[in-house]
Amino acid sequence: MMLSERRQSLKKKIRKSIPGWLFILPMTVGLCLFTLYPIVQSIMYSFHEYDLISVYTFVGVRNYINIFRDPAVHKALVNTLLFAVCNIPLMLVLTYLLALLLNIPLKGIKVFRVLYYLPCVIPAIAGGVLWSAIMKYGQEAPGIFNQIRVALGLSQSKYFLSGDFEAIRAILVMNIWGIGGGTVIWLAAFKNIPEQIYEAARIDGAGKITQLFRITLPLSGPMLLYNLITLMIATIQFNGTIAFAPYTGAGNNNATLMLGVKIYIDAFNRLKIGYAAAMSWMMMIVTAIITFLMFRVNRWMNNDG
Amino acid sequence: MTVEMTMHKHKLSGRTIVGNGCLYVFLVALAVVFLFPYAFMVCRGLMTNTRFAAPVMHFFPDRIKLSNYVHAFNEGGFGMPLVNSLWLCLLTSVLTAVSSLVPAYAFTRLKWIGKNVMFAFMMATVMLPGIATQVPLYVMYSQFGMLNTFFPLFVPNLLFGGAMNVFLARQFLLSHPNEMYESATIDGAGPFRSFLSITIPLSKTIFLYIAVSVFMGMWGDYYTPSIYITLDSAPKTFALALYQSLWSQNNIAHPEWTFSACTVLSVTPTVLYAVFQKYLVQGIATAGIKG
Repeated sequence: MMLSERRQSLKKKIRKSIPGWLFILPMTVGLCLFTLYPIVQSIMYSFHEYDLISVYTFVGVRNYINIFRDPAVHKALVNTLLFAVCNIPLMLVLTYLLALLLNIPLKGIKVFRVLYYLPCVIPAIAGGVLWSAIMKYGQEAPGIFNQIRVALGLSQSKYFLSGDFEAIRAILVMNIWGIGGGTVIWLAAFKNIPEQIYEAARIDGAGKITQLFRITLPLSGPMLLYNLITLMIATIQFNGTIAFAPYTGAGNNNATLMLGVKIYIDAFNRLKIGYAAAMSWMMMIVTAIITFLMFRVNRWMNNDG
Repeated sequence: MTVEMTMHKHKLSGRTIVGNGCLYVFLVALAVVFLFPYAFMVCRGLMTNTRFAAPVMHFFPDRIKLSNYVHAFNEGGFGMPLVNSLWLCLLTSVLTAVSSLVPAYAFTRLKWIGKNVMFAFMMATVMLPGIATQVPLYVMYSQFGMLNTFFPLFVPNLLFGGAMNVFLARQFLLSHPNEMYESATIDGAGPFRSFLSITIPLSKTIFLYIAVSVFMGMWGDYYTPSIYITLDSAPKTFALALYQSLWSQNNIAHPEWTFSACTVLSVTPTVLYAVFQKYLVQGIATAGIKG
């Protein structure tokens, strides 16, 4: 009796679920076909040698071992780390400072918010074309930057055509024009700080500077974790050099070869599918570990503080 | 005490005017710096061929040559890619907005077995980097004979608008008053009817956010098309055509056309951003704070 009642209610639940299932069906198919299946395949490929046409041989963990032996990977790893170490703090500080500036309640400040964001709207490929011109190197018709350098009595810089760290430095300089994007997120965080707190501080006689250090800075802190993690992931997977650097983004002397670029070249230009899959898994594992550590540090700091 | 306070106030306001003046000067100077690459691009795209190729790189054109735009899209070969990108981005952006709202509706307004599991599963895919699935997707499309077509660029969005978009749409739908749906149910409307006559009309904000951001993202993306479209004879998107033209004879002979094309490529998202700024900033804010 009880059992049949339960069965009855389950039947009812299932019947009530049908519209929900119908609405979720397309998404489920999409997820399985374009996310789940590729993930499983990607794991499979990473243990095989595969060139899309003929070879599909099981090689065990050889692809993973080769990653550690590949000098180009070492170079890419060093470049990516160097880029991350410079880019992440630089971006965090600059976006935050710009957000503080744009948070000042001035007439017309909204116009400046839009203006500063505009470089972010330029598509990467157009950015590549125009930065190549701005940073052009050569005796004949040097770019604007090198014109300035020469006028200042400096020698011309090769920027991202250079074979050493100068190339990464050029990317960092380019990135500065894109800080409007991160700034928007900080501004949103500032907006979420209740106005009453500032009012109370004003009544207590706190000046603008005190308000900044005692209210705005500490209360936008939680946003730091989000910004840090998204920035970190974007930096590790950075492959923007494909748009402007020579050799499909690898640069002269592999000076701008980052992990994302290395995977792109090996997968789609050299068709080393298995090896590229193994590298993308390594990159994912590294990203996951760093993200996890960041969450841990964040929790540890919040518990102590 | 009162006198002291008013004096203090007075002093402050005097200082504020000077301070604000300095701030404005600084803000304008900074705006010049920020807009410099953009202006550079526009100016170079309007130059004559001789001015562009002069032994000194100029910033300003000596005379404005608007015909560069005509040439870039005719002889320059960017005409067809421009048309392709327009319809492709428009189609994909609308499809993605719909395919984000459909699951969002299921997650917010309907009760069904497995809802929480499905939601967690979907959100887990946010953390997955695109590169991990790109290699097998490339193999899959090549086996389906879809390489060198536009299919790989929009087919995934047909079914699933991406975890972040579904999540944002869900957050948005949660803000709808429940009473409306209840009264619709009392009036005999089923879930499909409610979706069409309540959810869709009330979702203008999120619809526009998703559609516009997808449009802008896809419009400027040369990377994804460069994976799937490699043959010279294959149809191209605008951004891809630009990317591939960098090594072409045309670009060497008429680099100013490339800059005209770059300007058109950049002006489109700029206009979209200016018009839909309110929705976009709202969306970025929600994504940031909830994420």
